[in-house]
Amino acid sequence: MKVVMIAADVHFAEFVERHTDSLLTTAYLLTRDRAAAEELLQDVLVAMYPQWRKVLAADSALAYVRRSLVNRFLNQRRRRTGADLPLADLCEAGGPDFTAGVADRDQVRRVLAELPERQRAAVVLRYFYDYSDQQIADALACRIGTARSLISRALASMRAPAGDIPSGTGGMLR
Amino acid sequence: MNVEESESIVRDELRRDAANAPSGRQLRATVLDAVADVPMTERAGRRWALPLLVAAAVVALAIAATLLPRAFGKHSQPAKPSPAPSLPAPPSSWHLACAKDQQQVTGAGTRYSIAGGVRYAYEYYCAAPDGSRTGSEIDTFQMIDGQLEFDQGLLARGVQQYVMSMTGTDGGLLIREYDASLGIEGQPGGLISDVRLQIDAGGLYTGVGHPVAQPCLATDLMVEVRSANEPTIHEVLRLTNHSGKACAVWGNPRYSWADKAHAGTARSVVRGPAGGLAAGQLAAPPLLLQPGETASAAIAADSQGPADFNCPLSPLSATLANGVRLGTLDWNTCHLVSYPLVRAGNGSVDHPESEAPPLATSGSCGTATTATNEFELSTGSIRTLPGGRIGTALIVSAHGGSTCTIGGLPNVRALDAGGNLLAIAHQQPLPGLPTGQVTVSPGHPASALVDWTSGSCYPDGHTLQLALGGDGYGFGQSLGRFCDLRVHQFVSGSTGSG
Repeated sequence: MKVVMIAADVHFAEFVERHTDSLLTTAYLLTRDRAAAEELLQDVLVAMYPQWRKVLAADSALAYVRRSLVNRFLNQRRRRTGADLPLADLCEAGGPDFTAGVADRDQVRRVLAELPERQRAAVVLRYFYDYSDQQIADALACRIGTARSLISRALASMRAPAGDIPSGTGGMLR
Repeated sequence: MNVEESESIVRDELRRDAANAPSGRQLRATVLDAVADVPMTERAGRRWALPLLVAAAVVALAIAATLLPRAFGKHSQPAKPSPAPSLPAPPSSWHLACAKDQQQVTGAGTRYSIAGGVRYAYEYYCAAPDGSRTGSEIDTFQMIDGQLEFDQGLLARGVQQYVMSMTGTDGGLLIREYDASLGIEGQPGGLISDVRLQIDAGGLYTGVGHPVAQPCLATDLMVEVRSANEPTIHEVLRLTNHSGKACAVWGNPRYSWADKAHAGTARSVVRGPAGGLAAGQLAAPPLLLQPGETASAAIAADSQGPADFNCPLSPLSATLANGVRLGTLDWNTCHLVSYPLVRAGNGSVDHPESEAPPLATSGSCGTATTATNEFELSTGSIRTLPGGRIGTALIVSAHGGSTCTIGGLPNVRALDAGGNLLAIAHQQPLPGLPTGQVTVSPGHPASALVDWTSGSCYPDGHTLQLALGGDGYGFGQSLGRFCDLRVHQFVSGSTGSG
């Protein structure tokens, strides 16, 4: 394999200059907290710097970093809840599966704000970044069917009757 | 509220949320400070010492240009490539680590001069049959004892910038590039810039970018779907820039069905019957659309998909590769193939599909090192095959005492009576047969099976053409009106089926 000959430190600086705003938007959409978003992105970029040549070897440096951002966000949740869950289980974590109901914009807004982290990450990647099912599955390190399921559950919960809206943020393990 | 309404509200809410995201101005400085003393693993042991301040200044220029209002009324002319005859062939042993389904492509090349002498720059990237590709990598070389030796890398694939043209100058390079990465604040990628790269004798470089065109937005484009001007099954998506400024488009549009019963996304390919791309191009080039100019992309029913009997009309969402939504189309099929956008006026109205098949035949037969007069190409007899298919074998035989090798999936095309390209055969290995190299010697031919079905997908085919060693060899072969042209791997013998 040919080593990618690029001034990696220069590219890192360019990348930070160019993509920080966009990645900070991703972080904010995930965390919904400005300080937490800044902390999350800073942690990711600083952690990735020593291995930046690996990032350069990826097809898309931005997609690679965004995927790392999502992973770190989800891992933080894992540490926060203290659960020692294997990744596959985390993939399956989600809210109850509601299938019908009448809702309005306020309800969608409220449910969107309270989605479990994994569902929220999937929704952000699909509806803000137009990721395909496969790209979402790659980013969340889960199967494509699981990615679809996460989005489907998120949408279903938004359309559920108000009284049935899940209130927790940790989701349920199946 | 239905699913579509929910999705629409979710998009609105996310956009509203995103508007509240903090600015990254302070964070950028914090991150760069934090890593200032952190060692980087596998640091290149060469002369990479461009000061960060210079890099930051260059990038700031580019970002400032990106944030300027979308009003670039005047445009510099595209950089013209250097005359090919003066440029040595790129090093043949220069291999990228392409993904399994991708193929390495050598793109633009040029020479430039610096204080230390002449350098040669070549663009490389990896492309897949579905039209996806990596960013361009630019590597430079110098001639030492008649051989090109690696000098330095100027652009890495991970940056997602596609070189559109590259011209050598006295002291560096002038590069026109398409930036496929997302724009600021999640805006669609697709900024075209001209970058002037100044390189000194020590290999240090600085670059200044000037924006040429922003990505086309839906409001910039008039979108139409028309039938192709030829008796094929294809329709043509036509995008005309009706804004007052140039804008950029690239790649395979995505078509997806909103209807749950047909949820999914159309298959994308680059290979296709004709027009648009030069032979050997494995990825569509970005297109700079001046006001009034049109780009076209073919849409076809997927002959490899299930039959579309009783497939109801279903709204079809069309989106550009960079995520710009074009709107919805009505289409009464459940299985589509998306071809890339190519420039209208380059044969794309009559032949809107791209011409970019992988040249997968390998071996020495047909190359300059082979005495071609000692080898013969011929076709076998027409025969009926299982599944209602019709086929013949393309046979390579040897005379005299020479031998050569051949293997892989050949590049085969069907031409009409006027020699116009109708279809490029889909390359499909036959299961159960070897896929390696075959040695052709007197009495031991090699052959590849070509087969098709009768149907009205294409007009009468009169000639099968085999591309070998950079040349095309034609065989008179009446196909009638046909569909689903396929070619299989070279194997020993003269039947194409082992």
